[in-house]
Amino acid sequence: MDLNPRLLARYGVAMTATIILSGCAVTSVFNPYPNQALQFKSALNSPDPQSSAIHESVLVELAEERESSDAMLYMMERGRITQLLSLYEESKGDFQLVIDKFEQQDLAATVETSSMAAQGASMLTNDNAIPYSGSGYERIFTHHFQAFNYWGLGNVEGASIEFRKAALEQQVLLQKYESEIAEAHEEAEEEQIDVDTLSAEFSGLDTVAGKVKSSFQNAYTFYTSAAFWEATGELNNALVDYKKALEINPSAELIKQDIARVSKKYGTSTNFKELNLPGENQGTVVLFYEEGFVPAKSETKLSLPTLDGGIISIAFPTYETENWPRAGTLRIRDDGFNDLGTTQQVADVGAMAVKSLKEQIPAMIVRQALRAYSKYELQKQSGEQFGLMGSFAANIYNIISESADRRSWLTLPNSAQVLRFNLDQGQRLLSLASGALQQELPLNIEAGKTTFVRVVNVNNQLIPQVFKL
Amino acid sequence: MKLTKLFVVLVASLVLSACANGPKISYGDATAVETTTTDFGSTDLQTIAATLVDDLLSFPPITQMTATRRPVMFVDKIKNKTTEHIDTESITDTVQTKILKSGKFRFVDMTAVRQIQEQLNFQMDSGMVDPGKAVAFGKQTGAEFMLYGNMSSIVKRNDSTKDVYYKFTMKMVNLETGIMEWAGEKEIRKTGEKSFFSL
Repeated sequence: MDLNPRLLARYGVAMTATIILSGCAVTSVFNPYPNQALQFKSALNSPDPQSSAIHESVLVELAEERESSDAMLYMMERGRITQLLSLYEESKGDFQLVIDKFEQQDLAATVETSSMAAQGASMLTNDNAIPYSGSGYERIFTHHFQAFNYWGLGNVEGASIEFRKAALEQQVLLQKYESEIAEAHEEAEEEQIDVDTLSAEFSGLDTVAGKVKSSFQNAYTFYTSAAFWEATGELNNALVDYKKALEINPSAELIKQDIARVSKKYGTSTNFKELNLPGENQGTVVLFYEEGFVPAKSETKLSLPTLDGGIISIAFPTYETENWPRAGTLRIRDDGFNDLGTTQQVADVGAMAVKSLKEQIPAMIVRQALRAYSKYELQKQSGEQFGLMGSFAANIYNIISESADRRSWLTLPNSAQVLRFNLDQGQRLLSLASGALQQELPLNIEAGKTTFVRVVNVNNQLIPQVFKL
Repeated sequence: MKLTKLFVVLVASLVLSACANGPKISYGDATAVETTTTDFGSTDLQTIAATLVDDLLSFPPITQMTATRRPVMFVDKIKNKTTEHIDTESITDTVQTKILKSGKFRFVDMTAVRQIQEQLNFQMDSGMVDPGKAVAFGKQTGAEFMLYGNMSSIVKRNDSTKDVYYKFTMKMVNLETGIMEWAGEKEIRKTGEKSFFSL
């Protein structure tokens, strides 16, 4: 059989196109991730028999992504949803997959042919073709939430291990990120790509990023583990973590009290009067409040004319910092309508996400420039081979295929807040209020013990969960 | 052209045959050195148990004490202070088995207390067991020594290397006097490095 090379080329293109299109229909290559996320964000409700059908279908759908190239991302979302439904065992399995993948990446070879294929595919489509590999702040949250799973299952030692892992990640990423950014900057210089002119698109981000010390130093995780260590009697660990949380929130009176109290327990004298210590027949309540959803990335698309009359379109992810959600607070009263306090913000997760994106920009710009070049070449080639129609088709393909990588863990809260107060022992009824939302929470307070309450405010409802030691 | 066709057929058959093969299963040596990852593994467990038991049994005061009798001991939980979910009960099991096999100590098993109690209740109260042959309550031997310990780790990681240091400490205390009769320690260091190229 004699094959015509032009025919072969045409078949080849058609076949590749069908493979790419069919293979990617469910992933984010042609369907922006935030659109997909809307559906499973709506599943984030408290366990309610009426919505269980929605839960089930969303959870089944997400579970199918276990084998996909973006499995990490989908399992982060699923783990968060199942955790808020108090399905701790299931959530543990989801987060375990994410943790395993993170750990595989740690010592994965520098050059991997399997990932090169994805990089190659991204050159002809967009960055969404590269398997999702997670960000530093997401890794810390994974360990943080995994600790809640072990805790919820009554495995306190397991929880302590996850808190230690989270602390290790905060440490590791502190060093790791800086060198990575420098590397990408170097690469950009080698390829003679001017990072400064392109990153003008992102200039608005710095003010928000400035709100947190850095994207990987998560004060909420530090505070949670500190309170956990204090309650389990590991005062040294507690002191270190409270101090790290204060470092990021230097004006938080609550954390200053915590440090003074633990120092006193440790035997150091303190000048602080208010130590927030429980009275003789009192127990302590530590309240974690997670509000809203972290903002999703949006897309900035630019169409640049080429020298020979074509158009090259490039797209970047960015955050719309003008419409940044404003965090509310949670107000707690006891059964006698006495004010027990209002939560204080310790971590702005949105700002962490912004900082994380900003750190990825240099590498992204390099990829974007290479992709624009390869798409331009494709356009030129098809123009030369198939005439005007060919170049027109290539132009359209370029515009359609170019979409920004908007993937990130979207069921994370936007704001994380904390509060610590003491209550008389016995059966107590707390009233939680945030804006127009109100809910009552019965608590059994034991003298001298600490009760941990996590309240998540999403989809216009409060989801409380209680953790005991 | 013929050559190309031949090549296509070859590649296709290779791809297909690769798909047809199932996973490879084989038996290995349970004590062989295992270095799949830097995580806590079988080799670590075995070296820890072997080192500590040798250390305990060769400690002169212990050899002296166990020369004429077999003291009763119980093993407490080993505290896991590492960053890994390690089954420390499995380590204590191995340690316990090794000590028991040496014939120097005897053990009471605290993990089986509930089951033992249930069995004794059954023998006493169910009416199904001949009272003359039933095991009597209150005749168990109390442990003289307690074995306990903890395990901690320091992990450091950068772009290309992961370094894990484990320290396993075990102590034996006399329950009556409160005197610590013995303590042993085993350190392990493991380093993992990125390779440059992989498939």
